[in-house]
Amino acid sequence: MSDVAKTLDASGLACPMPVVRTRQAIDQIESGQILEVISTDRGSLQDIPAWAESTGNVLVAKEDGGDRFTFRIQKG
Amino acid sequence: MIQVITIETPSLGDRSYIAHDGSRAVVIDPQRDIDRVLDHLHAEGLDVTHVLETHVHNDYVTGGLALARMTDAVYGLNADDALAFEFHGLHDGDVLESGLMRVRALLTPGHTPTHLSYVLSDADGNDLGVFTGGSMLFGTVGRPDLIGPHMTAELAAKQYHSVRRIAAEVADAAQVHPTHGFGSHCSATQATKPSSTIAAERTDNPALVKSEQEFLDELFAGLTPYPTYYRYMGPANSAGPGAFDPTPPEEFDLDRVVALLKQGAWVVDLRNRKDFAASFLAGAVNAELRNDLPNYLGWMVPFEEHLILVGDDATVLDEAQRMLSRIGYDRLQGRMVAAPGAFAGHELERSIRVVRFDGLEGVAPEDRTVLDVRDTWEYVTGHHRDAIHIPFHDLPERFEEVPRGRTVWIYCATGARATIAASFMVRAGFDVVLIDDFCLPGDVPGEKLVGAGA
Repeated sequence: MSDVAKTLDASGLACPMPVVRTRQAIDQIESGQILEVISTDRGSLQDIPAWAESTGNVLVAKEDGGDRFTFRIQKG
Repeated sequence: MIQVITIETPSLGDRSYIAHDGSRAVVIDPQRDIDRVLDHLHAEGLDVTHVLETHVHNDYVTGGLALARMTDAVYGLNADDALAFEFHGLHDGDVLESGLMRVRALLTPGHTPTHLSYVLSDADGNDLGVFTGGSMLFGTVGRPDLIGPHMTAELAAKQYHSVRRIAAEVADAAQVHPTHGFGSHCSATQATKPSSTIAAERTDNPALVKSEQEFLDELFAGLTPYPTYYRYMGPANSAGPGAFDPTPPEEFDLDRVVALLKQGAWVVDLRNRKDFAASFLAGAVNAELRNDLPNYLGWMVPFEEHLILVGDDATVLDEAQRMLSRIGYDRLQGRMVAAPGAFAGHELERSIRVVRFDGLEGVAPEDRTVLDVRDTWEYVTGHHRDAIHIPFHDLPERFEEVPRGRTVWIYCATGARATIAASFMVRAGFDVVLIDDFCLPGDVPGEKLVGAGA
C-alpha cells in the first residue's frame, strides 16, 4: 500500500513488545500518516486495537492471517 | 535442488526445520506435535533419513524421538548427551549423508555444554545453510544460563567462541537457521529480522563484532527471568518423550468441575479476559489463548498438576491442549466448554471489577494496595506512585507479601498478565480490581505514576 508511511515487523515478539514497538514506531511518523504493524502474537489482536483507541490513534485496518496479524494505524 | 522448510512455533518463539533434496529429508529440532512435520513430509513426498537435535532442549519437549521411531530414521544427538534411550551419538566433524545432502556436525557449546550445530552442504561441499539451534541466532545468541548458575560463566565464554567458530568455518552465503530467538526465553534477546546469513551476522552478531569482555558484560546484563517449567524440560527430553496425543480429555460438566475445584484442582479458564472477569468460578486461573500461554502457565501452575481446561469452544480447548503438550503439560483431567452465562448464579461464581487507571481516583490509599506485576525491567522505567512490585511469575511464591484485608488493584503493561495475576490472587483469597489499561515502559500517565528510578 502506497499510503503506508512506515512498516513495523514485530514478528516473534511476545507481550508487551509488539505494543511497545508500535508506540516507538508511531513516534517516528507524522499525524495523519499510517503505520503498518505485523505481529505473530495472537494477543496483539486485542492489544493493538485497544492501545490505538486509548491513545487517540485510529485503527484503519486489521487482518487476521491465522498466525500472522497485520494492523494499519493512522496517527492521531 | 536442496531446500529448507521452516516450521514456526510462535507460542514458544522457536523454529524447526526440514532440509530436503526432493526425496530425502533431514529434520532438525522438531517440536512435540510432529503431525505438523508429518504433514509437510507427506505433502512433499519426503522420506526422512535423519532426525537431529542441536541440543537437549530446555524450553520444550521434543518430538524428535517419536518422529525418528515413526519414520525409522536415525536419531542423532551429541554422543556425550546422557539419555535414557538408544540414539546415534554424533561427534564434532561427523558427516551424515542424506540423498544429495551432506550434514556436518559442529561442536558449538554455550547454550548447553554439548550443543551441536549442523552445516548443510551439497555433495560438492558447497555450504547452503547452518542449523544453529541455540548458538548463533539472528543478531544475538542463545542464553548460557539455563543449565545452572554454576555453569553460566563458562558457557557464556564458550558461546562467544562457538559463534566465532561457525562464522569461521561456514561459507558467507550460507543461510543461518536458528531454533531460538523468535520470542523464546532461550534467546538472550529477540531477533529483529526474519532471515540471515553468515555474512550478515558478521556485522550484526554481538559475538562477532564485540570483544569477548564486552560481549560477556552485555550478555549478563541482559539476562531476564525465564519460566519455571524450563527445569522440567531437560529431564523430560532425556527420558525419551512420546509424541503429542491430540485425543481430548474427558468432557466435564459444571458439577464435576466445581467438585474438583473445591478439592484444589487447577482449572485454567482460557476465555477472553473481559468474559472471564464478568463471570468465573472462584479458584479458576485465567489465561487467554495467546502465544504466551505456555510461558505464562508454565510459570504459574505447578508442572505436576492435572489441569482442567475451560474455554468458549472445542477449537480453543484443542489448541490449548496442543500448546501445553509442547511443554509437557499432558496431564489433563478433563475439559469443559463454557457457554456464555455458564456460571451464572452458581455459588462459586465470582466477578472481578475492571477499570482503567483513572478508576483509582478517589480511592483512599489506606483502602487499597496497588500491585504492579510487570517484569523488573519494565517496572524500573516508571510505575504507579504507591505500587508494590511483584513480577507476575513470582506471585505463587510471594503473594504473602501483599497485605490482607485491602483490595488489591493490579496492573501490567497491557492487561494480559494482570488478568492472570488477578485470577491467581482471587484463588489465594484476595479481593481484587483489575486495571485493564496500558502502562508501557516509560509511561507516566498523569500524576498517578512516577518516573524512572523512583
